[in-house]
Amino acid sequence: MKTDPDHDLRPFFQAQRRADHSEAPLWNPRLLESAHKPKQASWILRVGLPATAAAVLAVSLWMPSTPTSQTHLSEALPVLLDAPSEPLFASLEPSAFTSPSDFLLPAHLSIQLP
Amino acid sequence: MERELADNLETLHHDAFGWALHCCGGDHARAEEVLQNAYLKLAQGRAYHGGQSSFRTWWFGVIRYTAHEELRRQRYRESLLGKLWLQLTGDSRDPRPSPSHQVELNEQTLELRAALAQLPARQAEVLHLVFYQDLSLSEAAAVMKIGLGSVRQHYERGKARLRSLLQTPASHED
Repeated sequence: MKTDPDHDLRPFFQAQRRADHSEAPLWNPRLLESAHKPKQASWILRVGLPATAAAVLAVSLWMPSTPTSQTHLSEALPVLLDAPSEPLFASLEPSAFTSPSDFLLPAHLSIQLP
Repeated sequence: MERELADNLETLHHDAFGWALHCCGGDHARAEEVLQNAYLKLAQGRAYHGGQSSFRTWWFGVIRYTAHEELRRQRYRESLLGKLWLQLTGDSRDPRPSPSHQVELNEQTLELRAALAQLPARQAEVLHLVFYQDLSLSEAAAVMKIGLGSVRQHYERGKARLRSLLQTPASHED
């Protein structure tokens, strides 16, 4: 008959096992359930947030295409360039001003205003 | 599936606590924290049993890894920076078991715990897994993520050293 070669060590471990089991915290299955809650929240964040962002983007794109009160806006703005058209630099007199240093310029670079 | 998982965990709960306690050097508070973190990993899908090994060996591997993570945090707390932080916050915790708990443990248990503490970590681990958890050497190798040859070596050396520490006569009876 074969006996356990480690029979001298086993009682020590069995005693420790019994002591540890009596000290172990109670099993609580809610530990696993409560841990699922953050996962659900993260799912909402992962799906809900992009969906909301897409909805906001769609609304913002749709808004300018709808008929707005553009006529009212143009009426409200001040009138620009209501004066009759005139030739450019009409107010300037031709060669009314000469600088004292003009003689230094080469003749072909002198600019004559109309 | 979740029901099956919960049933497996419930069956292993006490042994898992015993393993966590061993991985935490007998610190009850830390063992509870480690076990809770391991449950959290499982529930949040951060740890998943792929089926390559038995659920028991896989779960013990998760607990072992979680305990090592916790140990790294503990080492940080014990570092100079950590000590400074503790002094500033006034948050400190005695890792030793309470005196009332010490009294409750019988002499044999205390003797074994003291002897295992003197062994190299891997020798103590393999002895716990084989004698306390009734795992085979190959299962212990899977938990410890080392080869079977290494486990066998740690097991034999560990047993011899433990016998000398506990002063039990080596048995060679057949």
